[in-house]
Order: sequence, then C-alpha cells, then structure tokens
Amino acid sequence: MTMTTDPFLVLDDISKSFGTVEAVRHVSMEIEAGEFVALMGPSGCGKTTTLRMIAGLEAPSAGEIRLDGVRMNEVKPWRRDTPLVWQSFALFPFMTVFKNVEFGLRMRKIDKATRRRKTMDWLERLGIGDLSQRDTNKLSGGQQQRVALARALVAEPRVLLLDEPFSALDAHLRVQMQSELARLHRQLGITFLFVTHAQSEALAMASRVAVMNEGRIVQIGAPLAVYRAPTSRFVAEFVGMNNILTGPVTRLNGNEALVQTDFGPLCAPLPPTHRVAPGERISVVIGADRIALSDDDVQSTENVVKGTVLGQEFVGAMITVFLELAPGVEFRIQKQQHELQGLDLTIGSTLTAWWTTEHAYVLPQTDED
Amino acid sequence: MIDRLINGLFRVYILLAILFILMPILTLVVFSFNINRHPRLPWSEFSFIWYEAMWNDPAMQSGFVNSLIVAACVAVIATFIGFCTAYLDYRFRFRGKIAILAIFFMPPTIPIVILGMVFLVYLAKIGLFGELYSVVIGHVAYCAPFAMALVRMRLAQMDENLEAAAWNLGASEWTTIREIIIPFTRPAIIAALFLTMAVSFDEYMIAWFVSGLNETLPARILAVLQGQVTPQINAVGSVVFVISISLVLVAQFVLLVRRPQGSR
Repeated sequence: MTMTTDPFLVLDDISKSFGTVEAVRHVSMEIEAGEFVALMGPSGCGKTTTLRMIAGLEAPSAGEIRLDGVRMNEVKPWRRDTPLVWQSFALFPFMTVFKNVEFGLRMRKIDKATRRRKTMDWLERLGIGDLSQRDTNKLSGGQQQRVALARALVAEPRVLLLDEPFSALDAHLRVQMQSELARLHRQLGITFLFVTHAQSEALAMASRVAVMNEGRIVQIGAPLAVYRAPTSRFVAEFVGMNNILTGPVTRLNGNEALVQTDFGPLCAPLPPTHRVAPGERISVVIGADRIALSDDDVQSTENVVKGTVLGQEFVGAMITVFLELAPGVEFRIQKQQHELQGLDLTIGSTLTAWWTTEHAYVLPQTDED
Repeated sequence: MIDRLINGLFRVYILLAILFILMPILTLVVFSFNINRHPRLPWSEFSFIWYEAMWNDPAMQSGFVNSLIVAACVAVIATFIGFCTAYLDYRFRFRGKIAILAIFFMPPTIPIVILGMVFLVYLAKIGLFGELYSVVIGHVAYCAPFAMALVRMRLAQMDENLEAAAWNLGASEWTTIREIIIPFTRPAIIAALFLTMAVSFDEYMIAWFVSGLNETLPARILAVLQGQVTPQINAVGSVVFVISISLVLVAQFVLLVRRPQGSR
C-alpha cells in the first residue's frame, strides 16, 4: 500500500524461465490507468507469458509485478481482478451463454438478481442478448468472441487482458471486432493490454505499442513512432513492410549522409539521435510504400536501385512488387494498383525503383544479418 | 462383381466369428429355459423351473445381494480414486509420476489368479480377510485403472485453458474442480461407475480367494460348479450375463453414443 504514486500497472524487471528456456528476460514497463497497450512480437517472443504473469497464471522467476502499487507476485489468479480474453475463447462448453457470462459474478458471490441484471446488460451491450440460452458450441466465431468479451468484462475489472483474441476470426470479422474493442475501450476507460503478432491490429487500436523479441522489449512507443522510426532492424522488419540497405558512409553533406551500398549510392537524413562518421557502416530503412517504380532509366544517381521482377502480391487494391536486386536480396514496393498501370510486371522484367532522401531513415543500430 | 462376392464372403466370415464367440453364452441362455436336467438336444420343454430353483436357493440369494453391495461400493470408490488419479496426471508434473502411474495401472495386467492369491495372503496378514469389504478392497484395486483410463480420455479432450479461465474469473482450485472439471468429465464418470460395477459384478477369482464365507454370486457359481452341477447354473449364468452386459452397454452409451458436449 506504500507507493501510491506508482503508475497503475508496473512490470519491474520481470523474468521467467521454464527449465533452461528463458521465455521473458528483464521486462520493465509502466502502464497508466486507461491506456490501451499492445504487446506485439513473433510467436515465442514471450508476449503471452508476460500476459499470463500479469494474470497470475505464471509466477515470475525474478522481478516484481505491481498493480496500483501493490506487489502481485504471490497473489493467486482467482484473487486478482485481471480477466483474460483467450485466443481459444476458452468458453465453458457445458454452460449456456448466460451461464458463461454469469460465471465471474457467481464466483464473487453476488446475489442472483444483480447477477442476472448485469449479465443481461452485458449481453445486450455486445449485441448477443438473444443468444443467452444458447449452447456456446452452436455459436459462430464472432459470437463466441463477444461471449468471451462479455464474460471478462461483466465484473467491471479495471484492466482487461487480451491474448490474440482475434486470431481465430476471418479478416472481415476481425476488423469489425477491432472497432468494437476500440469503442469498448473508449466507453469503459479501463486499461486494455492486448497481445498480438499482427502489426495491423496493434497499430490500429493501441495508444502505445511494445515490440518484443526473444523475451525482451526491444522498442516501446506510440504506434506511429514505432512504425516510422524503428530503432532496430528487427523492429523495422517486423512492424512495417520495410527495405533495409546497409553500407559505409562515404561523405557527410549538410544534414545528409551519402552511403555506398552494394546496389548503388544512396542519401539519408542524418539521425537526430546519434552522430554518424564517414567510414561507419549504417543501415538505412526505406518503407515499401515510399518507393516509386518505373521501367525507364531514372536521371538521379542516388536513391535508385535496379532489379528484376520476382513476383507480385495483391491485397485488395494494394499490390506488393518483389524486386530482386541481386541473388537472394529482395526489395519490396507497395503501390496502389492504378499507379502500376503501364508497367511491365512480368516475372524477369527489369524495373527501376527510386525514392526521395527524406523518406529514408537511418537505424540507430547497425545490426546486420 | 468379384469385389461384391469377396465382400459378401467377408461378411459371412465375420458373422460366423461373432457367432462362434457368442455360442457358449447362447447355449447357456437357451438351456436355462430347458426343463431337461441334461443339456442335450433335442430341447425337451420350455420352463422357468431353474430360475425358480435359483430364486429359492438361499446361498444364491445371499450371493446375489453380496455381489450387488460389493459392485455398488466398488463402483463408487474405484471411480473416485480413478478420477483423482486422472486429474493428478492431467494437472501436475512431478518426479516419479510415470512410475506411480505405472504401478497404478498394474493390477489389470497381472494374471487374476495371482492377484487373488496375493490379496488372500496380504489381507489375511493384516486381518482384513474373509469379509465383504475384503472383496471390495481387491476389486477396487482391480477396477480403479479402468475408471482412470476413462476419465483421462475425457480430460484429454478438454481445452487446456478451461481450468485457467475459471481461475481467471475468480474460481479457486477446489471450486474449479467442482464447477469445471467434474461437469466436463461427467460422461466419463458415469461410464466409469457402470463399467467398474460390471467388472466387479462379474469378477470371481479375487472374490473367491478373499471372500471366505461371504461369497459373491460368481464365487458361489464357482463353488456350485465344483460340486454337483444342475441346470440352475445356466439360469444364474444368464442373469449375471444380462446384468453385466447391460452395465457395459450403459457405459458405452453414455461415453460414445450420446456425444458429450465440448468434445473436440
């Protein structure tokens, strides 16, 4: 009860080992009440383990978890108020929708009339009031998702944990549930902690994003900042569709550095965070959506690469073109379909890609593959 | 054409095999209704006299009642132990678990004569021999693994997060067992009750060794067979068969036919 000035939820240097495997390593994070934080990373990065530790389903091997200034490490999961929405939904199969949602209230020994009112209230709120007497296994994925949300929220917690809740849904439903979740967060004003491996979900909903890799938080910040200013090659590759070119700095020119890569010279704005000296190897990130394509030669000598078309990928009106700069080196360009009309995109044809210097970004660390 | 012929032949073959297996039981049932003292064809006359004789035989009566009592006790205790062991196996990981489970599963794999003898020696030594509960003890050891296997099978179908989901919503470990684990495994528990009851009701070797004067029905049958055989034994055999097979069928029905909810 001491440190009342603590933020709402604090992860203080927590680690978790399973035998010899270190799933989470020295994770520290402070979350304010009412934030919507996304924990993202590839599978096995420790994000789900972190969430489970907050819910009390795993005990940290080291470090401390504080909720409202109170150490939580030894608190049993059923004594916490940290409901979780599971990836598999984990609805109780032998109970009706109503009984599922009512469960948390019943466990808290709340009287029957109140239970009934609150349960129906939440079912209505999530638009599944008419399903209350159904068996959960007769529901669609989206309906099950709503039951899971209602079940977690019915006891009015101050924090909601979500473990990849939308991964079992198809793309259309996913977007629908995202907006539903964002709306709930606005209305309730409670803290949401959301685990996902899909950057689109994290960037669309969260007010803050923490990217994890190999058990550590590698970057944390506002979604756009993480997206546009990754601090490492890992984040640059994981968070957005980015191209990364590495080479030595040949010359400094005002606010720009001239970099000699294997595929030609390029210019990049000097990073504000650290000094770059000639001769130093740096990595330059160019977002796939910031690149222009042409089948003619381009006049400029910098910021131009040539490659052969490897293939293309359609997602709606967006097309990703894959260029091969050299054997094994891929360059990705993302364009609207109409922007590519008139270009020869058959596999093997040669195209030129270029961009402006302001759209290049120098990584603070040059961790090469 | 040739395929259909082969198919037909296979059907006939399987039918014959089933008939061969069922023949002794069929013979038993058929001759239990025959008035003739000797089981000989042609059949002489339909009659219930052997059933009447059985009904009026005090030794058979007490054997039947004893068997029912033992079977009921065994069903409850063996299913309880089986459930606990299955849950232990599902929920916890600890050193020596495999060894403990192997020992637990051992009784049905030991020749039943040996098991009966071992129980005779052991129970006599600790002064628990010759009572009805001696049979219960022996049968529980023999039946509990069946119950455990059934519950374990059901637990394997459970979403691994279901238990944690209940904790997460404020249910303590005991409450979760009551609210989640038992309802989920209910079909297996019911099936285990019926199956262990059937196994106990049928079992004669352990019962014969340890029951002393408190014979169960199968032990009584064995005693009769060793002495003067009358067709009354056919009647008793038929009754035992019908009861056992009914219990097994109920167990099968609960577990397999009526598809339990939440199966994956």
